[in-house]
Amino acid sequence: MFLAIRSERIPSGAWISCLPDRHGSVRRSASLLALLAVAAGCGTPEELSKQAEEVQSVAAEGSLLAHAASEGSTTGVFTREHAKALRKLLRKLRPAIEDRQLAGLADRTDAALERLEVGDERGPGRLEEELSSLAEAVGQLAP
Amino acid sequence: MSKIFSVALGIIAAIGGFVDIGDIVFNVAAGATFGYQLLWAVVLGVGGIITYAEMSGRVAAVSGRAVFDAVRERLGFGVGLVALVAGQLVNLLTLAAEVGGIALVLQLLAGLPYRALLVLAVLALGLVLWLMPFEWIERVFGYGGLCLLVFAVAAIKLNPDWGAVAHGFLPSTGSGDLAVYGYYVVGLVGAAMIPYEVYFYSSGAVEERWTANDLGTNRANVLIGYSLGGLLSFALMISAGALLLPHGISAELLGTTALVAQAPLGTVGLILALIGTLFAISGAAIDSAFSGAYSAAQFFGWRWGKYRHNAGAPRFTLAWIAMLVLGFSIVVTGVDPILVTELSVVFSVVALPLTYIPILLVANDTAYMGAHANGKLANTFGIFYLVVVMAIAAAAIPLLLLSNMGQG
Repeated sequence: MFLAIRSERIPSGAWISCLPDRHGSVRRSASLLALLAVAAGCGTPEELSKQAEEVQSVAAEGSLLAHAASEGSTTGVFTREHAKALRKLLRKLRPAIEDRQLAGLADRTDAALERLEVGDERGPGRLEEELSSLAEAVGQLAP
Repeated sequence: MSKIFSVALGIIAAIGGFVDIGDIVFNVAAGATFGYQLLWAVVLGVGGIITYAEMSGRVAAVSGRAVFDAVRERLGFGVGLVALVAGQLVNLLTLAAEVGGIALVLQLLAGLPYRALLVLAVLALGLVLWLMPFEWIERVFGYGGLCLLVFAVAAIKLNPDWGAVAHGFLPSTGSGDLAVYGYYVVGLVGAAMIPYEVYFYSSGAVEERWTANDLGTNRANVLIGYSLGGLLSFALMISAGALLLPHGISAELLGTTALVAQAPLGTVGLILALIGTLFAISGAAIDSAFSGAYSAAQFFGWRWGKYRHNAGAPRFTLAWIAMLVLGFSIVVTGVDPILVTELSVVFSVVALPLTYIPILLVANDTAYMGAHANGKLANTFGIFYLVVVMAIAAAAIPLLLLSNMGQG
């Protein structure tokens, strides 16, 4: 659910270390939240099937986003910002992926989302197809 | 006629003001994960908030005293202080989540840097709280939140399996991971019954100087307003279940919620969803900041109330300013507002009994309430929901851990 995201979803997201010392109480509160989050196991999933589910989810959502962009039924800002947020999800997950096939598909998904974010000259229709087939390919790794 | 008009306006504001970031997060995630299977949990939660908001509004109208007055009186200083601290921590986490949520929505609308938008959000909230009269705050954000009705249109246009939707209203143990399913039940009920809503509602009744003559307005607001507000929760879950579940999309971003309205309704759907979300969570941020100030003021016996103006209740004013500053301090660290939302809802569930037990006790006290004390129906629902609240309070933290915060 809302878990793979976490800290890296937010821009320039150093979690706690960005706080100066005089904010000790805030730092402690944030540490407590972090501890609870870790205790609840909301970090990056280690099982291949769960990692594949997350990559598949990002690719499928990217495909929907690209579809909206290709139809002109969304705003440029939303497309850019949401593609950026999806890439952050992926980047959080990426270092934990050991399976080479899944890692490759995750990298291709990230590259497609990057093109969606910056506005690919070949058009979002192509990206929709690409992300859709990536979602399908990853889906086969997540039974 | 003007009375009917005023009641109608209150109901409309209650509908638009029903949903906050916790409802959005849990309803969309539940729809994306379990489809329509958890609609019954929304009904359970809406029934709970109707039951206890009605009681707290009635107590406020009859006695002129809000929830934390009752908490202090009924639980004594020591236990009351525990309730206050627990309630304030949950208020603060909720406020932090809402402020972060406002910045995230503004980012999706304007594309500006997140931290700059956080500053803008907290300054705008501060200005609204400082300048706007209570009635305006309630109405403006309630009416703006009505844009979320776009999700009801989206749910219909996505053409869900209405048989499965109907089946979702029957309680079940669900399919899939039981711990994850239980976690969502706790989250959905907790999001609907989050304590700041009754703190704010009962204090609002005192702000608007309700008397026993306003008991009809109280009933209409909670019964009609909250029931129709609950429809927004259904719409969020149904549209997420119809769009996201078949695509295998797990709702992990606020933008995903907007996409649920965009897919069937295009740019208009997207903009309405973002604006509705912005108003709904801004209204909830104001409610939770005020709730923190109300609770502290009522517990310690300070002068309180927006109607006194800022200088007329200085400690109350400083309390809501402090809430805003602390809420901002949490999210500016870079912590994810969605993570804070989930934790705030789960912790609020743990604190629910401390809020609702005193309300039930006072609403039953004939020395306090006279002829307006709880009748059999109110007590039946009150006791039923107290059992529900105790059960989910006991299960909340174990389910948070067992389900890996809903990850399975």
